[in-house]
Amino acid sequence: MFCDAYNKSLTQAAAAERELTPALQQHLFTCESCRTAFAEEQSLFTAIDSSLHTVANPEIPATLIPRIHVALNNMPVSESNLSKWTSTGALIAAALVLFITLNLKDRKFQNSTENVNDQASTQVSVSRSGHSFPPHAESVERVPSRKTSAIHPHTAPVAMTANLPEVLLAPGQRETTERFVQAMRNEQFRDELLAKKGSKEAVLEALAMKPIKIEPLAPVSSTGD
Amino acid sequence: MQELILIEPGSTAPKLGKTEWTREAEHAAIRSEFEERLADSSGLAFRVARGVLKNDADAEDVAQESLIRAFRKFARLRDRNRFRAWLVRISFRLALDRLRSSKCRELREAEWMREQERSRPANSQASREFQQHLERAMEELPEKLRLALLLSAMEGHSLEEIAVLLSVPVGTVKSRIFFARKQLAEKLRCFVTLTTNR
Ligand SMILES: [Zn+2]
Repeated sequence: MFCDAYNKSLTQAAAAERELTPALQQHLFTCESCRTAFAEEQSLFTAIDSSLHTVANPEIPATLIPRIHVALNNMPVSESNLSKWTSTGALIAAALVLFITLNLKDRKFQNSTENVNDQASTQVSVSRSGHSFPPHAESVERVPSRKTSAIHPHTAPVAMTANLPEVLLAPGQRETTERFVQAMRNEQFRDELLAKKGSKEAVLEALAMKPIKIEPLAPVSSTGD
Repeated sequence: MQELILIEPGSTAPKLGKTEWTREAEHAAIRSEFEERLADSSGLAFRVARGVLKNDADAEDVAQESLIRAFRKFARLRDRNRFRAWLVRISFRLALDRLRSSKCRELREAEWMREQERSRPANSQASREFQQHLERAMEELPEKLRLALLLSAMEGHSLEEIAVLLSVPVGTVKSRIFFARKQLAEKLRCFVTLTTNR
């Protein structure tokens, strides 16, 4: 126990990890009671600091950054710091994604997981330009297909340049698709269309389009190239 | 014969205006700048939340939520110090909110006890008990003292950096840490005596 006269100053010195003044050092040298009490006080703070260090420096989970990336990618664009869709390319991509997803939903096709990993054969891909896409963008990546040789005879790929989605269209839908792309360049129309994203029928009606038929492609042997 | 249609932006319609491309470039730049910031900031958000919640899973949720909110405001938070200060505040606040949701509290405590057992098998029983007492004592600290103490215990934070993170003078940081340590010592003194007497 500290002597009354030194209690406060010695307790504070321990808590603040301050160097002792010559007067305090002198007292500790001569007073065993204070010396013992001060040593106990110091070991208390050592224990506190050691536990605090453990509490304050947990290992950062390796999953943290990847899951933030996923959350960012799934973040609705209206919530991102770019409140407006400023890129026409991104708009077209997102609208196509939405459109195709609506169709895919109806078809309820079952997709095997090995197709998901078959990158070379994925004909609908999400933009790599770093834009945020709606949550359903993920499901679009699951459009199953094989190599080009496996393309359904009634379909053909439409490649949007470099980082835009690539989709399969039935022949004869080129004109419709181009009309769609043109329409998406109209800002007012685009906003109206995106507002209808909940309703497939409304989107199709606004575009004067029939649903694009998307079906899983039957695997064929790659020998007949 | 299969039909291949290549639609290039600008080939079937008038070219995009220069401003639109500029804006797109800006969007990409913001995202990429944010991603760069993630590496050092996500850990900070996680540790602040973990210091409050004592549970990895909850802390990860809070860190994610904080960073998503930060991204939404990133256009205004591009200054590194401002960003980190904002992130510390929001992580701490969200973690406290989560802690207060009494519904999950019991589950969390149970999980915490299990985690303690798992993560520190080598530690002595006494030291584990002391840490539990310390974490409870920290919960009782006033929020300002608690956050300052937590940041000071994190690796790599000088007093000056904590002052920037908390937007207060260095002197205020020092005094908060001092009072926090003092209050902890008052609460934990008896446990240290018990531990050392064992
Ligand atoms: Zn004395």
